[in-house]
Amino acid sequence: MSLPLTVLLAEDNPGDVFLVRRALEKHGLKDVDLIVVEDGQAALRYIEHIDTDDSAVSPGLALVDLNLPRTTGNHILTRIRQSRRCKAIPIIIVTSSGSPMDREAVSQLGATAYFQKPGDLAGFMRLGQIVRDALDGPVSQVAASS
Amino acid sequence: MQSVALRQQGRIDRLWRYLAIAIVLGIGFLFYHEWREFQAADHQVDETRQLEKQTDDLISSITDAETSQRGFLLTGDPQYLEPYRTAVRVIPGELRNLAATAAAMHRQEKEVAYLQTLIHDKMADLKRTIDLRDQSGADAALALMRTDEGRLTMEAVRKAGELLLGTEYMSLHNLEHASESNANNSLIVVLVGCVGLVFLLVRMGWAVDSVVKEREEFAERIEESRRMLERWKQTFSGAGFGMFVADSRTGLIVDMNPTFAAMHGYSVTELLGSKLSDLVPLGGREEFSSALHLAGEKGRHMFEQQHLRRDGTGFPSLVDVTRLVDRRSEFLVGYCSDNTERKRVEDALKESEERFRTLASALPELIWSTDAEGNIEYVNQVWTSYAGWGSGDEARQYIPLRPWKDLLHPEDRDEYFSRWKESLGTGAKFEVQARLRRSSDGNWRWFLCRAVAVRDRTSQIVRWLGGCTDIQQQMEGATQLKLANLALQQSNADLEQFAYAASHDLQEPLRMVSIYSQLLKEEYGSALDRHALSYIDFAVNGARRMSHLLTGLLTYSRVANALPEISPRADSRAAVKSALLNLATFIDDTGASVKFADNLPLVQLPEIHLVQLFQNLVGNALKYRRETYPEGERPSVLIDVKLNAGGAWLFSVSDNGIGIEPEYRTQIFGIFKRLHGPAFEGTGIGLALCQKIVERAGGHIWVESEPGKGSTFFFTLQGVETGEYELASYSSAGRG
Repeated sequence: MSLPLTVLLAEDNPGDVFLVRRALEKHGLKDVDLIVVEDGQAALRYIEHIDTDDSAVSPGLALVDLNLPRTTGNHILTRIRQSRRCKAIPIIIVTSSGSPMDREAVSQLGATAYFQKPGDLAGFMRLGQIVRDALDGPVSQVAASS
Repeated sequence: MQSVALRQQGRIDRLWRYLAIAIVLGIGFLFYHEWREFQAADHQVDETRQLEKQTDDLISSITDAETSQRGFLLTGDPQYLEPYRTAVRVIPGELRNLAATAAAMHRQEKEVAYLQTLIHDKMADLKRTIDLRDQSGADAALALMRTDEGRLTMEAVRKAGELLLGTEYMSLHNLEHASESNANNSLIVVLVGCVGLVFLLVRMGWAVDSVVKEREEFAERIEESRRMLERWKQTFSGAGFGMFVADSRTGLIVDMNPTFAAMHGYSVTELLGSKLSDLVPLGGREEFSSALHLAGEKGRHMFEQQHLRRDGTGFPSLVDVTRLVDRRSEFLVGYCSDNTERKRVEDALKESEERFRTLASALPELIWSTDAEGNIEYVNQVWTSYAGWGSGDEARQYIPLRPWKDLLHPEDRDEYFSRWKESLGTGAKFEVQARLRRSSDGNWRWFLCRAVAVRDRTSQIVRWLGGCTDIQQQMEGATQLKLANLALQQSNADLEQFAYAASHDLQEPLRMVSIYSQLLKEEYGSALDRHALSYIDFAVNGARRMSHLLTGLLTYSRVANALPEISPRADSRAAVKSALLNLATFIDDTGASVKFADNLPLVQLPEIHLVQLFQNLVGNALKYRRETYPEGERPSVLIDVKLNAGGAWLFSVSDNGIGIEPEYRTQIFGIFKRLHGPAFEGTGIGLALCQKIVERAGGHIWVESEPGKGSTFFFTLQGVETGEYELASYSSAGRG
């Protein structure tokens, strides 16, 4: 893969941001340029900026929490899939929700993978592998590994 | 009309015939008359000729005698007297003959008599002169002669003869003339007659032609009648009902069709000539005879009659008898049918009708029925008393023209009527809510009116069956119900909100506690002592347990507060499979065998609940397995089902685990109730959830157990239908 990789992370919980960064590092993704937005509106603005400014570096992957202030993860997901430059990137939903309805909904909206935040450290670290898989392999394999 | 014309035609034909006969007779008479005239004329001609000849002969004789006299007188030679003597000898005869002829003719008798006198005078004159010559010589005689007397007499004779003949000729001529004119007249008459005859012949020829034509037409008609008769005969013998012809005087059967004979168990030849009344049971013959008599009097009579078969059994029949008067005799023609089946059906119908009415009158609803067109046939007692009608008859004037006119609330009439019209047209179920006025207090009450079409075997609508249910209370309660529903929906939304909060917002901090405790242990574990590390473990376990409790509580509250579904159904076989799939890791880890019956049915509850139910019970069974099992044994669970006495499905989930002490068998279903410490992980919610699920579905759940040997959890559920299921099992060993 070409370096450096830019990853959009929409997450309002700093504890989780830390864990995500750790999970990526744990799986060899040390040079990732992680762009963290803490609320939904900021995420939408970021996508807007990428689309309008061709000189801006486009993210290669997005990690989106569903439960964000001001705008839902679903909305962000939809916006990315409509984006001129980012519509094809892998999008991994990272959420504490275990609701089958949420899984179904994001799948319909075009999410690449669904990661339910586990209650244990080792489990959370598996997110790094999921991101690698999403960057490498076809979508179906990524989905299976979630 | 036609017969009158024919009769007139006949009269005219007869007239023509008489006319022809009259003409022929007239012509005949004329011919006879002419013939007679001709005969008479011919006869007269003959007579005249005879008279002429006789007169000529007489004149000639007298002339000869005179000539002879003269010769003698001159010569005195007696030789000359010879003709005279002949004449003297002949003349008297000739005179007699002439007289006879005239006498026969009844004509000229005077003239003949005058001629006779003249001839006598002449002869006498001749004789005198001859005598005188003889005696006195020639001179005396000549002198006498010279007196001219003789010549004059002769002249007179000649004249008399000529006169006689002249008269005769004249008469003959007249006769011929008259005859000729008659003949002319006759010719005209004959010609006219002939023309008339020719005309008549032509006319009669036409008549003959038309008669021939009529005859041909008649023959054709006869042929047509014969064919029609043949057709009727075939119809008669092939008819599906019995037909017979009986002599009305004797009551004997003179003809019948095979059906008639067969329905009585006989052949046609066997029944011919037997008495009609023999086919009727002894006791009914008098009545039968009077019925036949009535048919004879009225011309036609239809009646029901019990008939007798040859084997002595009877059958009911409808007999229709018509009197038929022939030229010579009087017959009774009838048909009859074997009404056994119809009678049976009628009886059954009557009975079913009776049952319906009994039922309808016993029901508290307003029950009515109409015919296929919507005309009221029946309303029950509840109807009439609700509407304040004297009887059902009063109801009959309403549908379909005016649907319960005065009874229906004016605002509801249009919809009621249009729906009813639509149903009548399409046969679709009729259903409408309408207000009907209660006659006892004049209040309008809401009713749910429904009607369904009753169809016969060919799907033809035979009647409509309807009922109206008083839904006033429901309608009154509807507003309150709506409010309550709204509140319930709100409370459900709140609950969902809580559920989400519980699953997400409350879980989040716990997750942080748990993960960062682990991180602390991982990163700084080497710097901590054994106690500090165990504190971290307590914190992590506490957080995890709190998380499990939250999840369990959420599930439980979702089940307890779930909105009731309209008609839930779940395939328990599929539910068991889903549950086992969810438990697959656990089953593998425990090396257990899980089997289920092959006849797991469809049951009435949401499938997601059924999966939770099986998952909890099987999970429990495996969780509370024994520590060790004897050689050849392993943890095993059996899911079975059978119908209980109440018609519900009785499920059982049996295990060979540690079992439950009797005193705890009720307690275990309480929420957060646990019998075991940390050795068995659990939230204490699983069985409470199971109980909630089963009870919400209207069933019961309980446990039977033998401590140390195993437990069996039983629960009942209402079935949907029984399907066929093959034997299936699911076990760790058998799992592919």
